[in-house]
Amino acid sequence: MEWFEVFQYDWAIRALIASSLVGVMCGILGCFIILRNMAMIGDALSHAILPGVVVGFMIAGHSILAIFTGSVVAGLITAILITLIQRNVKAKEDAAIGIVFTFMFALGVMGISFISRKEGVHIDMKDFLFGNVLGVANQDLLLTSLITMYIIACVIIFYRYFLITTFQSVIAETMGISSSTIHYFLMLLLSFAVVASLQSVGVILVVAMLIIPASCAYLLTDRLDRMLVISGLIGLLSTISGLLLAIELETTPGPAMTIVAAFFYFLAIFFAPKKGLLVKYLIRRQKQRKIWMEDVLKQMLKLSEKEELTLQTLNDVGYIKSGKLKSVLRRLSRKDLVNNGDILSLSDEGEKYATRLVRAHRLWETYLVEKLGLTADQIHEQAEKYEHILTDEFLEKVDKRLGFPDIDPHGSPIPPGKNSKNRLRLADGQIGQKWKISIKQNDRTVVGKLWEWGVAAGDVVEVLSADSENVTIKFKATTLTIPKSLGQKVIVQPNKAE
Amino acid sequence: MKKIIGVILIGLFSFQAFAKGDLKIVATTSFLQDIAQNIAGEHQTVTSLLPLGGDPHIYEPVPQDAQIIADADLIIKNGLFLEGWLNKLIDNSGTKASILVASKNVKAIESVDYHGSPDPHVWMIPSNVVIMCENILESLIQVDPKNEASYRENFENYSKELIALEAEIKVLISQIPQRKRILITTHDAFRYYGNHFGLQVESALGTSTDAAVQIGDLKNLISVIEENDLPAIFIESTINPKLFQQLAQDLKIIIGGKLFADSLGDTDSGATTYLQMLRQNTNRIVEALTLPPALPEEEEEGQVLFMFIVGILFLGAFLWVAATLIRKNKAPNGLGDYSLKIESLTVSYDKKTILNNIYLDIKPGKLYGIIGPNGAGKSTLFKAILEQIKLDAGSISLGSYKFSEVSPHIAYIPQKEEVDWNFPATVWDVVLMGRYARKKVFEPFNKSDKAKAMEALEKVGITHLKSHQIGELSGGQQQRVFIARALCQDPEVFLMDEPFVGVDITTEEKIVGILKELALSGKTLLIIHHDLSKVTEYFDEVIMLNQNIIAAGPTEQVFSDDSIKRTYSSQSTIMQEAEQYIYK
Repeated sequence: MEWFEVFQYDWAIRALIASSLVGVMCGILGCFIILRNMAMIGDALSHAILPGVVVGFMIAGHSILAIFTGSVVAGLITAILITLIQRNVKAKEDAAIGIVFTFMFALGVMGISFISRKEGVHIDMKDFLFGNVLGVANQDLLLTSLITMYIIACVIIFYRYFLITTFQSVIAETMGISSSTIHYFLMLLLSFAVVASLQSVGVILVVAMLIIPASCAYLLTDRLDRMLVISGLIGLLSTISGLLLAIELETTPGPAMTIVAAFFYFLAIFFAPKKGLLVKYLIRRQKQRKIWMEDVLKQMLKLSEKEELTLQTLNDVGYIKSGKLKSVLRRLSRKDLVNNGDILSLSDEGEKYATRLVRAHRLWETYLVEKLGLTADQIHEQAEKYEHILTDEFLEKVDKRLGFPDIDPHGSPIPPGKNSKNRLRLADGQIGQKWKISIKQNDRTVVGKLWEWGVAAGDVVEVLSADSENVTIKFKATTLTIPKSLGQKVIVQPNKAE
Repeated sequence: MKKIIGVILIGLFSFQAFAKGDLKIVATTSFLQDIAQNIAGEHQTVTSLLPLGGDPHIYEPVPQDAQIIADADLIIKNGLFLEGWLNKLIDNSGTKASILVASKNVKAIESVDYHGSPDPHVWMIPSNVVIMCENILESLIQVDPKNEASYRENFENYSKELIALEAEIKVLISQIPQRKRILITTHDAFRYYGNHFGLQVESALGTSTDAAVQIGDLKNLISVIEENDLPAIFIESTINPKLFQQLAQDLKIIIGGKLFADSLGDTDSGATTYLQMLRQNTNRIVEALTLPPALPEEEEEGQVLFMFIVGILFLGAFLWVAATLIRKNKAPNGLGDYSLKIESLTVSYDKKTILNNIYLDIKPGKLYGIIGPNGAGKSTLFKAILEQIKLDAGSISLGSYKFSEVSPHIAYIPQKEEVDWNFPATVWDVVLMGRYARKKVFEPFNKSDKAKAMEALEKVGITHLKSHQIGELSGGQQQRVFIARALCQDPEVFLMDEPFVGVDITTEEKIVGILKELALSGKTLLIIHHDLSKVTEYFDEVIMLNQNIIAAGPTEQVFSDDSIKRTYSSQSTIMQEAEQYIYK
C-alpha cells in the first residue's frame, strides 16, 4: 500500500501525530461546545485569533511561541468581549458574536495588509484559513501535544464543574460554583485548541472538528462521560482516516478530515442505537405490526360469535389487504394465538388477548364519555388508537376511577378485569351508605323494576338494612324492600355529592 | 479635534507618490520599477505599486493604489497573468494612462501547474529583460518624445550590463557539479532561469504562491533530494519558510539562502536592484550547491524557554480556576439558630419594579407557600435570596450569615421548564450533583456520598430509574429527580419553584408527604405554588405576593377570598400603567 511507503518520511509521521492530537482534543472540547449551544462561539473564536497571529508575527516573525501567545490573548479578548456584550448590552446573542468576531478578523486582515507593506514579508492567509498539516514542525508538534495533555487533564480534574455548569448554571451558581469562571476557562481551552489546530486543519475547518465528532457522540450515548470518550475517539478516527485518504488521493488533508467526520455523523444519524433513524423506523414498524395483529385478533373475536371463521370471512371485513392478512395470521399462529387452518379459531391465549383489547377499547370509550364529556360518536377512533398502548396497570386505574362499569357508552358489555368483582351493586352497600343509581344498567329487568319503583337513573338512594335475602333502601320519603338477587344486578356509583 | 481630522484628510488625499519629472509612471512591482527607472534615467521617476517584499500573485490593493493608477500617465505591468488583481483596478479607476505589457514579444513557456496558461516569471533571464526594456523604451518615447535621445542612450547602456550579467551567470552555474544542478525552491519562479542556464527546477508550490502544498509534491521533492544527495534547498523572500526549514532539518541539509524572485529586497538585503537580485541569487545557488553536505544547527535553547512559557500559562490558568472554586469552601457546618429574614427588599428590572419593600421572617419547621399572579415577583424573590440578581435596596440574611457564606445549606429547585432534558446525564448523575455543594474542590465522592444519593432516590421512590437518561422520564419522575438532588445536598433551607406543575397526582402526594416530613424535622421550606385549591391543605403559612406583600401569616388566618381577590386584582396593572407614564 501507498500508506506504509509514505510513513517512512518524518513529515508524514508528524502530520499523523499532529492530526490525531487535534482530533482527540477537539472531540473532547467539542462536547461542551455543543451542549452549551456555543457552536457559533467556536467558529467566532477561531477567526478572531487572526490579529493575535499578526501581532505575534510582528514581534517575533515566524515564531510559534509568539503566534501561540498572541492567539490565546486575542481569543480571550474575543471571549470576554462577546460575554460582556451579551450580559450587559441589549443585543441578540448571535449578533454579539457576529459583531465581535468580524471586528477582530478585520483587525487581523488589516494588520496583514499593513505588515506586508511595511516589513517586506507576508503571512499567508491561506495557511491561516485552511491549515497546512504537511508543514507541521517539531515545535508545532510539541505545542500540540502539551495542549492536548493539558486539555484532557483539565477536563478530568474539573469534570464535575464542567458538568454542572453546562447542565444547570443556575444550580451551580447557587452552590457557589462560579459558572462564569468555568465559562472563561473553557474559552481559554478553546483558544488553545484552535491555535493547536491552526496548522493541521486551519480556522475554518477547526469548527468542523469541534462540532461534528461531538454531535456524533451525542447521538450515540446519553451520558456525558461516555460522550467525551466517544467524541475523542471519533475525532481521532476522522483525522487519521482523513489524512490517509488525502495521501491516497493526493489532496489537501484538512477537507478530507472534515468529510470523513461528516460521514461518521451521517452514519450515526441512521444507525445510532437509540436516536438513530433506522432504530426509530424499526420500532415504528414493530408497533404497526402489533397493531395489525391486535386488530385481526379483535375482528376474529367479534366474528367468531356469529359464524364460522375462514380466511374468506375475515377478508370480507376488509380491514387489511388479504396479502397482509395472511402474513399477520401466520405470525399469530406462530405465537399460538390463532389455530391456523381452513377454519380459523382463536386459541385460549388468543381469546384472552382479544378480550383484553376489547376491554381496553370499551373502558377507554367509557372514560372519554364519563370524564371528558365527549359524545358517543366522537370516541371510537381515539379508543381504537389507545387500546393498543394502554397498559393493564393503567386500565385498572381507569376502571377504578370509573367505578368498575360493565357496559360502554354504546351499550356493549365491558369484559371484566382483575378487579371487576369490585363493580358496585346495590346489594353490596353497607348500611347507611348513599348510592347514586347508575345511568347504565345492563339488565333489562332492572330497568323495568326501577321504572316501576319510580326511581330514575341518577337518583340517590340510601341503604337502610341488608340481610341474606332482602335489601331495604330509602328513596326520598319512601322505603323499598327488594330481593337481594335483584339488588345484585342494580349498578350503582358512589354518591359524589356526599 | 477638527484639526486632527483635517490633518488626516489632507494626509489621505494629498498623497505624494510622484516627484521628479512631469510624467507619472507606475510599474506594478519593484523589479519592473528598477528596470524602467534605468531607462527613464534622470528625466522621470518611476513608482512601484507593490511595496518591497509584496507578492504580486496575491497582492490585495489598498485605496491609495487606485488613486495612483487614476493619476498615472503610463502604467508598466509584467503581464502573463502575474497581476491578476490589476485589471479590475485599472477598469475601476477611470485612468487615461497608456498601459504597457512589458513582456510583449518575449517567448513565454507554459506553466507547469496551470496547463494552457503561461509562466509569468520571464524576467528571470537577462536577455528577456532586454526585450522588456525595448518595450519600455518605446512607451517612454511615446509619452515623452522630447527626451528620446537620452532614453535611447540609457537603453544601450543598460542592455550591455544585462548581457554581461547573462554571461557571468553562465560561467558561475557551470561551476556546479553536473548532477547537483538541481534547484529546489518554495515556488516555481525559476523555470525560465533553470531552463536557460541548465538547472533542473523542482518546487513545492506551483507557479503561483496561491496554492497549498500537496502531498504528491512533497513526496516528489524528498525523493529528488535524496536521490541526488542535494546539499541545499532554497526559500524565497515572499513565502513562509517554515515548511522548508522543517524539511531541511529532517533531511539534514541546509537552507541555501533566501532567493528573490517576485520582489526586490530592502536596503540590507543586497538585492535592491534587478541586477543585484539576479547576481545574488546566482551566487547563493552556486555557493550552496557546491558545498559538501553540512549539518544544520539544533535549536535546543529555544525549546526550553518555549516549554517554560507554555507551562507558566497552563499553570496560571489552572490555579486561577482552582482558586475561584476553593473560595466557596468556607461555609460553616450549620446555620445555628436562624431564620430567613428579608428586610425592605426592593428589586427592579429595566426600571420596572418587581418587588417593592418586602419584609419577611421565615422560620424553620413550617411549610411556607408563596402565591401570586404571573409577574408578581415570586421567582424574583428566590433569585434575590440566592443572590442571582442585584438588589435596589434591602437585605436578606440567614441568622448571622449572608447567602454566599452558607450556600451549601440552601437547596434550590428551579422550574422544570428551565432544564435541557436532552442533556446526556442519568438520574444518578443529577442526584449526585447535590453532593457537589458539600465537597472540597478536588475531593472525590466516597461511599457516604453515594449512600446519601441512594437514600434520596429511595425516599422519592425512583431507585429503579437510577441509570435512565433524564429525558426518558415522565414529568412527575423528573420532578422527583430534582427533589432527590435537593435531599442529597442535605440542606437547611429548600426553595422550590412550582414543584407541582406537570406532575401526576401520586407524585404530588408523595412530594407533599416528604415536605411535611422535612418541616417536622426543622427545615425551612419555601414553595412557590399556583393551585389555590390546595393551599389550605398543604401550607402552614402563606405569603401572598404581588410586588408588595398583600398578606402573610398562618394560612387559616390569612388565606381568604378577600385576600385572594386583592392579590390577583388588577390594582397592580393600574400601577404598571401609571409607571409607564412616569418613564415616558
